[in-house]
Amino acid sequence: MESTSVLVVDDESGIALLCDRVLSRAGYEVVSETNPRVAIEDLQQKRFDLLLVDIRMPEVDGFDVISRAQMVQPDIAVLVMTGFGTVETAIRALRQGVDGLLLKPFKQSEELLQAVRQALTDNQRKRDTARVSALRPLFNVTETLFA
Amino acid sequence: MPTLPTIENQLKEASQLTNAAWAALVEREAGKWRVLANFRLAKKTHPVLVNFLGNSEVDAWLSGALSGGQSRSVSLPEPDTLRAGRLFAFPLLGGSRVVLVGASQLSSESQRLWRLVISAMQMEVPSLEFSPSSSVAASLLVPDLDSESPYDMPRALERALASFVRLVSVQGGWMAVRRGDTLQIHAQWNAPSCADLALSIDGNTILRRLARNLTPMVIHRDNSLWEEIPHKGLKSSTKIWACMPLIIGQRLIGVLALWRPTAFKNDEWNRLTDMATQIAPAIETIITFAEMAGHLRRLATLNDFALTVSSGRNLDQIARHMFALLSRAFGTELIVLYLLSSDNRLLSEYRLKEGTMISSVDSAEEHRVAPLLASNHLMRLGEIGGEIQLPLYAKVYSGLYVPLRFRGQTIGVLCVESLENNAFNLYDENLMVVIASHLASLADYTRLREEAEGRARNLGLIHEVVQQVIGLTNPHEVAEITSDLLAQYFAYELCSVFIADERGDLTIGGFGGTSQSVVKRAMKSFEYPLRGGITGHVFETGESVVVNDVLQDTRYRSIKGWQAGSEMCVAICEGEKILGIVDVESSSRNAFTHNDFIAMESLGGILAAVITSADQYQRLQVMISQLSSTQVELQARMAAQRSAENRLVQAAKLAAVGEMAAGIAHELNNPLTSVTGFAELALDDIPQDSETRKDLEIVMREAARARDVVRRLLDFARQSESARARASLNEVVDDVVALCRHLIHTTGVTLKLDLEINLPWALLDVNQMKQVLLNLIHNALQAMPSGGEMIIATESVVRDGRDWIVVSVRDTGVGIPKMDQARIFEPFYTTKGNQGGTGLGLSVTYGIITDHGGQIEVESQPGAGSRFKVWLPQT
Repeated sequence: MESTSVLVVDDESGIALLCDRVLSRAGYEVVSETNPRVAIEDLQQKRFDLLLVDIRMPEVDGFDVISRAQMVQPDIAVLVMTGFGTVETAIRALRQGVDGLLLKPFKQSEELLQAVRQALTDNQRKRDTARVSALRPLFNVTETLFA
Repeated sequence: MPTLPTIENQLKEASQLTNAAWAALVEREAGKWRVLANFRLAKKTHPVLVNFLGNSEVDAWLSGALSGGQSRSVSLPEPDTLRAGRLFAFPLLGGSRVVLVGASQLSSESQRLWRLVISAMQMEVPSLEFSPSSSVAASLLVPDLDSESPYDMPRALERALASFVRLVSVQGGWMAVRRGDTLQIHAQWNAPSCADLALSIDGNTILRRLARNLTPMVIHRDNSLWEEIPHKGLKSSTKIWACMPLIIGQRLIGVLALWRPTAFKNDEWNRLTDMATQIAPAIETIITFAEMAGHLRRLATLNDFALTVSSGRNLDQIARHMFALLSRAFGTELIVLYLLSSDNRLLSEYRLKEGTMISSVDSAEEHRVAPLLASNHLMRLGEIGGEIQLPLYAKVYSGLYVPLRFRGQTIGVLCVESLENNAFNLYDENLMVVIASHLASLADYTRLREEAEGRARNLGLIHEVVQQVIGLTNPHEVAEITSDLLAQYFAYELCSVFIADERGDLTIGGFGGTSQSVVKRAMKSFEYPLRGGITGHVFETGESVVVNDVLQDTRYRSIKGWQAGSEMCVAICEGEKILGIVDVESSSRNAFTHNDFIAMESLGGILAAVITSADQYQRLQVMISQLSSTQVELQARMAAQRSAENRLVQAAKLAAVGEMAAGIAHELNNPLTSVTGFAELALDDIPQDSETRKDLEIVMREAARARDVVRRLLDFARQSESARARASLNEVVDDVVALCRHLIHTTGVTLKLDLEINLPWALLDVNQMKQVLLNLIHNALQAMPSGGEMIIATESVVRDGRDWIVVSVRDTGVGIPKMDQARIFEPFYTTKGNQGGTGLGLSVTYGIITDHGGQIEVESQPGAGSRFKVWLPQT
C-alpha cells in the first residue's frame, strides 16, 4: 500500500521537525515546512493526504494555507494545530472544513498520532459520503431502468 | 395786787406757753429776796434759789433790772441745781418785785409774752385807786384755764361787752376788733345776726366817720344816717344806736355798738365812755395775747414739722405726720396733698379719710387742681367759689391752697379746708408757705430717691435678665425666666412674655405675677395666633404702648376673671422684624411711670438680641449637623473611590502581568512541545537499560510540569470568553463540595455549610465559579495540613447601595502573614513554592471574579485562620 503522505506546516522549526519525526516513525511519508509560502508551492507540485498546519504564523496564517490546499487538492484531510484553544478558532476551523483540531502543546506523541488518524478517518468517511451522494442519481436512474 | 392763786395761774400759763422750766415772783425786802409765788419750783429748789439770789453779784444784777425797769437774762452757773440753763428777770415797775423765769432759752416772742404778763400784773398794783372799770379790765386778763385756749379773744370780748351791758340797760350790742380795713365782730349781745360779721370801715359812712373822728356817735332813728347802720337785727322799737371807738393813743383798735329804745342819760353816757377809755388797753392786750398764742402755735407747728421732716422715711410717712400736724394746728381734717410725677403726667393724691391716710394716682390732665398747678399762685378763700372748681371736700367755707414749688417748678399743691368761715388768716398763710417750701424740697428729694430706687430696680432687673437669659437657646425658657423675673422685681400682678415661633405666631409664652393662673387659664380659650387687643396691636405694629386706663382704650380686650387697670406692652424688635412682646398689667390705673416704660423697652432690646442669637445658634447647629453628615458621606464616597481605584490599579497590574504571562506562555508552548516530543523520541531510540534513559525521563517530567504551568497561564489569559447565565451560587457550592467531599474527608477537616435559603440568583459562568471555589477550597485544605474546620457560607448583602451575593470560605489554618496579604492575588506570587504552588491559583480566581464585576477580599490572622470573601453583584 502506498504510504499516507502528510504535509506539516509550522513556522516553529522545532515543532515541524518533531511532527516530521513522530509521523515518519509511525510510517507516514512526511514533508515538513516552516515557511507557509513554500508549503503552498509544495501543495501544487505534490499530492498529500493530510495537511497538518499551525494557525498562528507570520505573513501567511494557517487558514490561508488551508484554503489554498483545498483549492488545489479538494480531497485533502486537514488537521489544525493551535496554541490558542479558543472557541473562535475552532468555529472558524470547522467552517473551513477542517477535519481535526489539535491543541498545542500535546502531551505525548501518541496524542498527535491519534489526532492524525482520526482526521484521516473522518476525511475518508466524508469523501465516501460525498461520493455516495454523487452516485445517488445514477443509482436512481439504474433502478428506474431495471424496474 | 391780784390774789396769789391768780398770779400763780398767770405764771403757769405763761410758762407753759413759753416752754419755761419754772417761774417765780420774788420781792426784795430789807436787803433779802423772798419768793411770793411760783410755778414748778420744787420745795428743794426754793432755798437754792434764795441762796443764789442772796449772792451779792446776783443781788446787784437784779437791783439794776429793777431800777432800770428793763428785763434782762443771764446764764446760770449751775444749771442742774436750778434746772434751767438761763435765768430771765422781768421787773415789775414801781416796786421791788421781779418775775424770774428759768428756761433753756426764751425766744424774743416768748420774752414779749412775759413782758405782757408782767405789765398786766402791774395794773393791779395796790397803790392805784379802785374803780369798777379797772376791775373789769383786770378781770378780762385773767386767763380761763379751764378752756382749751385760755387766751380766747372772743370770750374775753364777750365778757367786756357784758360789763357794758351791765352798766346800762340796752336792747342789743356788739364789740368788734379792727383788723386792717375791716372790723371783725367777735362778741354780740342779743344780736345773733351780727355774729362773726366782718364790716368794711371804708364801705360804711358811719364807720368811716368814726375812724376819722375817733369820737363816739349816737344816731337817732329819724336821722338820715340810720340807714347806714352796717348791720341788721335792730328791733322796730329801737330808736337810739350808739357806737364808740376803742382807742389807744390815736389808733382805733375796735368798736363798741349798743342800741336801745330810749336815749342815754348823761351819767349813763359818761360811764360808758369812761369804761370804753379804761377798757381799751385791756382789749389791746387781749388782741396781742391772741395773736401771740397764734404765733406760738404756728411756731410749735413749724418746730414739729421740722422734726417730722427729718424723721420721715418716705413720702407716705411724711404726708401722714404732716397731716396730723396740720389737723392739730388748724383744727380740720380736710387736708389733701397732690404731688406731680417727674414726667408731670400723673398726679398722686394723699388725703385723710376717717383718720387714715389714703393715696391714689390719677392722670394730671384735666384734674380739678390742674388750674391751681398751672396758675402757681397761693389761694386763700373765705367764701368758696370762683373759677376754680373747689373745694375738694363738701360743705367747706374756707380753704387754703398752697402750691409746692421747687427750683421754679410747681411739683404739687397742699390744700387745707375748713368747715368754718374765714378759718385762715395771713399768718396761717405764711406758715403754710414755709411748710410748703420745706415740703416741696422734701417731696422732690423723696421723689428723686424713689425714682432712683425705681431705676436701680429696673437696672437690677435688666442685669438679672441678662445674667439668666443670655446664652439660652430655648425661647420657651427665655419667656418663662423673663416673666418670672418681671414679677419678682416689680410685683406686677401680671407679666407675660410672648415670643413668635418660626411661623410667626405668638405660641411661645411665659407668665408671671400673682394673677398669672387666671390669665393662663384664659389663654387656653384664646386661639393662636394672639391677635387683637393691645398686645395684638403692639405685635402687629411694633409700637410699644402704655395705657393708663384700659377701660378708656377701645383696643383693650378683657380677660375673664382679671380686672386690669393699666397695661404696658412693648415689642421685641430686631430691625423691622417683630419677634414678640412683653406685656405687664396692673389692676390699678396709672400704675406705670415713664421710667418703667424705658426699662421695659431696654428689656425688649435685650430679649431681641437673645432671641436672635438663639435663633442663629440653632440655625448654626442645623448647618453643622448637615455639614458633618455631608462630611461623613463624602468620606464614605472617598473611601469607596479609593478602594475602587485600588482595585482598578490592581486589576490593571494583574491584567498587564496576565497578558505578559500569556505571551510568555505562548512562546514557551512550542519549545516545550519540542522538548517533550524529542525527549520521547529519544527515549524510544535508547535501549531499555541505558543510563541516559533516566535523565531523559527527568527532562520529560520537568517539561510536562512546565507545560502545566503554561496551560494554567493560558487559562488565566483566556478568561474574557466565558459563558454566563443566571444561576444559583448555592448549587455551584453544592456541586464543588460534592466533588471535594472525599478529599476534605481524607485530610481530617470538618466542613460546615451555611447557605442562605432563597439566595438570589446571579449572572455566573458556572464552570469558572466552580474553578474559583475549587481553588479556595484547595487553598483552605492546604492551610490546614493537620485538620481543622472549614465553613462555606453564602448570603446576600447590601454594600455601598448595591446588592451583592457573597460566598465565603473560612479555615482554621495557619493564616497569611500581613505582608503577604496584599500580594497573594498577584500571578506567580506564592508562599507554597516548596509544595508545588505555581502562584497562579488565586490570581486566576481574582481574574474570574473581577471579570464577573465582583471583588475578592481576604481577612487573615496568622495562626488563627483565613477567610476569603467573594462578592458578586446580584444583577
